[in-house]
Amino acid sequence: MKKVLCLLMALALALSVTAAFADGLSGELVIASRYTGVQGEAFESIIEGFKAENPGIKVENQTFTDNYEDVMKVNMSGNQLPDVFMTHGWSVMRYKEYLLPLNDEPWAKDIVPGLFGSIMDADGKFYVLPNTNAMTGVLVQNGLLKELGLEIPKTVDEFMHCCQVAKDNGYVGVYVAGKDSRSPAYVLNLMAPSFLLNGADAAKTGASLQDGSFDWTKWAAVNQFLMDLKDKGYMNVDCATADTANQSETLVAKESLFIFQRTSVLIEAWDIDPEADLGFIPMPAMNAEEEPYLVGGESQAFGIWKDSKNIEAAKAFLAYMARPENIKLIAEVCGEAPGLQGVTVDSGNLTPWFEAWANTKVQPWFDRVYLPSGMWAIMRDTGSGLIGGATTIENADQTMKDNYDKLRAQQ
Amino acid sequence: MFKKKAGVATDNQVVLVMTAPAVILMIVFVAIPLVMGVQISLTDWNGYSQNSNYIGLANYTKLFSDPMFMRAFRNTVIYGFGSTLFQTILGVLYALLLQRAFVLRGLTRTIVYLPAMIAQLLVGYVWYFMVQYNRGALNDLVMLLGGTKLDWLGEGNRAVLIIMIINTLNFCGKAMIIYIAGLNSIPDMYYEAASVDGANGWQQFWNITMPQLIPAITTSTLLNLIGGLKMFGLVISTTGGGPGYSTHSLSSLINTLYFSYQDAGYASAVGVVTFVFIMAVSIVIRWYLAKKEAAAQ
Repeated sequence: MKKVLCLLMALALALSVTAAFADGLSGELVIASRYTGVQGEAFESIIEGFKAENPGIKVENQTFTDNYEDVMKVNMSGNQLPDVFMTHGWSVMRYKEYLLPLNDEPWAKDIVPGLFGSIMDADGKFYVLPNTNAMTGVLVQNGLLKELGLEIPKTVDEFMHCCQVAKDNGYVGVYVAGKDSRSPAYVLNLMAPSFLLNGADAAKTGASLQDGSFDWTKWAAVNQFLMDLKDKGYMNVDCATADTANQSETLVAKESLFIFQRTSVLIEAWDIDPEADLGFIPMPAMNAEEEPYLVGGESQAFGIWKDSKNIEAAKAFLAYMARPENIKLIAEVCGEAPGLQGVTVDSGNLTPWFEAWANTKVQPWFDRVYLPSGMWAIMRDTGSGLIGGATTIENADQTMKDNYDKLRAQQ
Repeated sequence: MFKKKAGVATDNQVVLVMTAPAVILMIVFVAIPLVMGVQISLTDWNGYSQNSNYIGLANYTKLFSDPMFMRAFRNTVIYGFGSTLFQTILGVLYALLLQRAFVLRGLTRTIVYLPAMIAQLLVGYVWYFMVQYNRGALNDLVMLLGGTKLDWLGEGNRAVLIIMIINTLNFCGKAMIIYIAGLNSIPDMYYEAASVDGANGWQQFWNITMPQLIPAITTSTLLNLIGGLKMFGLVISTTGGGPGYSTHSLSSLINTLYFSYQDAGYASAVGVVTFVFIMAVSIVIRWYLAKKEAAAQ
């Protein structure tokens, strides 16, 4: 009798467990991101929510910070990637070979149309869930701009005039934190469309960048802009060695007028002083005939490794992350616009700026569309070399050309 | 006739078993990566793709016309030999000073040695905050003395010297410990005999201390030299290799070429040359100091 009872209890237990997973998925997902701090907590809460709804799926959340790209490159070299991983703007140019096309996913129809330019390949396939649209322009100390009696600059000349006025009044025109070479590279990358993709030849120049026939002497104008900022004394004295940790402080302390960076720097600044009058403005156009523009594209995006053994579970995770409340959460903690339509985001102090520039032209991140993967590093080195006096414009142009040719050949 | 008992290992077998773990580790973590590194250096591999092409010695021929490599090589020599020279001088001075008995001697030794126990990256960040332009302690001091603020790390050559000085201060404690051990092994009777013969302090130092310290100098020099030639963390945390590429060491350049420039083939070629260079320098120094040691006996 006892044996029968035990058998029945075991059967009941087995049935209940089976019933619990009957409608759900099972498996073990490895998810890689580079979220830390508040963003890390938000992402973790999404994972916890997913696990609660899918008790059969175990999730290992791997977080890498500055070395995320290096870790992913090592993983790619061994063809051993996490099931779900962040593509940080490089889903097509770098990770496509390893990603599963996601065109048929239920959330695909909701993707903000402007994002397709940066996430879709020539075959019309895309490989990520774009949680956000990384919209940025020139970060501005708006209070200082007003105090100096300046209007928002629309052209490069007006921008230079603002920097001159700031300098004349003892302020830094453009703050560059060159210890991290991304800082001068942002100037080059964000301003490149202004100098190269203008006038009747804009499309032709864009095509020449993509097909390898670009005349690299034209790049000198972009490097010259960076050097003009430096040579005219518009940059901070320590532009080659300042730490990025100082960027938000210098804005809050009203020491600097402009910074070429992502809007996340504003979020950090508002953490220091929520009342600081800061914002972002469109990139100045080359002349009055051209339109100022914002720069946007893939940012907090996740894809699925095409050889994953847990593709269904991975798809379920992306579907869960695509829910409006999760998109909203990620967009808000990252200070970026949502990547899916129908999601209303409270971007706090950024909201009026997003609204103000709602109809502004958006250019994709220049290097991600027009340059081969790997050129960002070259821009970092040439930009850093220029402001540090370690190279000349001619050498920097040549370095860009040589590496562009080499990296294109590798593709 | 003596017969070996079954189940009892011979001396050779014991030696084999005891050295096996070290040999296996050397093969797995040194020999195989080295061979693979040489193999990769003959390709144009980008570091992550599943495809690459064999390009022969092209990466090696490119090395010596590449200003970035030449600059990193020059910096590495400065970091390696410069640091070693000053670490030796400071290490010997500290050792002579702190070998004598005085109150708080142990604490003083600990303070001098402590930085050597901290990760280079952290040491670099701390020093960066001291020498940075705005809010840097060094500039505060300069201004206190009526001077003008300076962007200390903003000029390549000056930044290289600053990194070398930081490395020297960071590891001179390690040299000090080796020299204290060396000093303690010198028998007192040598000094007593020299005193009886009327030798002054300088003569005793030059004719007894220095020759007897040669084994310690060999150890310390090799360790410091190899450490300096392999320098990575300090460069990354103080300048990131910049401005431009002006402060890169060979190690930090390899990292940049591999991961940022996506040129794993070329990075491997730099790695192989770095390995050969450090090995050659170590052998020559070891040979020279061994000769000195023999002469001092």
